[in-house]
Amino acid sequence: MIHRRDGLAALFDAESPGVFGFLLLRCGSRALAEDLMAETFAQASGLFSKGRGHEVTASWLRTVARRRLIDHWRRQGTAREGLAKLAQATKPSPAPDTDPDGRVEMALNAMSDRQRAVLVLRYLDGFSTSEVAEAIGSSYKATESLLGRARAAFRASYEGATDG
Amino acid sequence: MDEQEIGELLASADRPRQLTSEERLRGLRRLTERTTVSSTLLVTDDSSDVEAVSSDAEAVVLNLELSPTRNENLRLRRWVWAVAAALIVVVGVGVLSLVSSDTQSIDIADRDNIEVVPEGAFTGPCSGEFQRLIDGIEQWGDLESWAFAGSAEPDVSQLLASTFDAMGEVGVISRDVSDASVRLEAQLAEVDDGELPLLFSESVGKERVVEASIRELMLILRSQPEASGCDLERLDNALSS
Repeated sequence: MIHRRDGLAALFDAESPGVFGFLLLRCGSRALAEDLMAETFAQASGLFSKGRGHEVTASWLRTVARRRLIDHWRRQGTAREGLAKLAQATKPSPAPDTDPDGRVEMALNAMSDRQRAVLVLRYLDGFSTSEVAEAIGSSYKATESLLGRARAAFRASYEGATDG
Repeated sequence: MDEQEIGELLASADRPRQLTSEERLRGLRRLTERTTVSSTLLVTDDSSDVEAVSSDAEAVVLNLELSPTRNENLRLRRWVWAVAAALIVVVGVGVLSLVSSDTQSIDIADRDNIEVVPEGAFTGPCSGEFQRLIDGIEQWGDLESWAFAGSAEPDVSQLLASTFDAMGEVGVISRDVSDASVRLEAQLAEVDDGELPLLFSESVGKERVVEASIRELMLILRSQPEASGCDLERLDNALSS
């Protein structure tokens, strides 16, 4: 039996936690994050098969994962036109581990998918309100209002979890 | 909590998440399946390893960083597969063309194997028209698609009429109208815009399915009434009654 761990398998073991965490925070579903991660690595395997495996980096994987997530949102109707533009964005997200007890994740899980999407796009991926509005196919004012409700919901959930 | 704090909190949660062993195994397995399907991966030299992947979390058998030798092997394999695929396509097209010509165009020689219903075999109200229809068809050996009507059963016209009436577009033409399965197939057949699936039962135990367009046939009949000798109006009326 062969147990070679190099190549794509090694990449999977090294990078899958990062890709999985990236997707999980944004979609809130382990099953969905797992599916999207599989699609992401399947795309990476295409580069490996062409002898371009060296092009696959953590940043590349995040970019592809974001595209897959946006594709999912598009299919789900959470977001409409304009998401493709965000698919090209590669704004890095800092990852200091200051949420060890998962309260942020709990607060996000308490929000609706749409609220979660705009909050993450605005405050984690760093898009402007206009860009978020374009991303979800909504007007600026409606997005502003949605962001306001998302912030309130996040605060309430997070602070409730903290008080509890 | 202001907007900056929200951003910081979200960023703090944006961290790697450890996969469970099941999630990791599924991910590797899906990766293996996908890459194997696309023939880009040499998985193992032991077929039992493929099964092991599904049962052994440690059985990672991917190996994409191929050595030059393996690259050559892979290239050779791809050539072999390409040649094999080309052969399959050529053979497939040949077979399909044979089948197609067999089902869509039945020439005189083929029809020699078809026992034409003898004159006077029909006893239904439109027997004369059906007989003349058959006679007319006999003259048109160059038709690419055609329908053949014939039955020694006296109720063939009734069967045709009722089928056309019930289905609108479906005709069943069978020499062996006592074969219930033929009728059932005709009734279940889907019709696509004038294309009629005509079930042709050449003889007991040997059935052929002939796809033809009754509209096309009727158009030809109308354009050559003298050739067919059919009273089309009466036939139409009989079929729709």
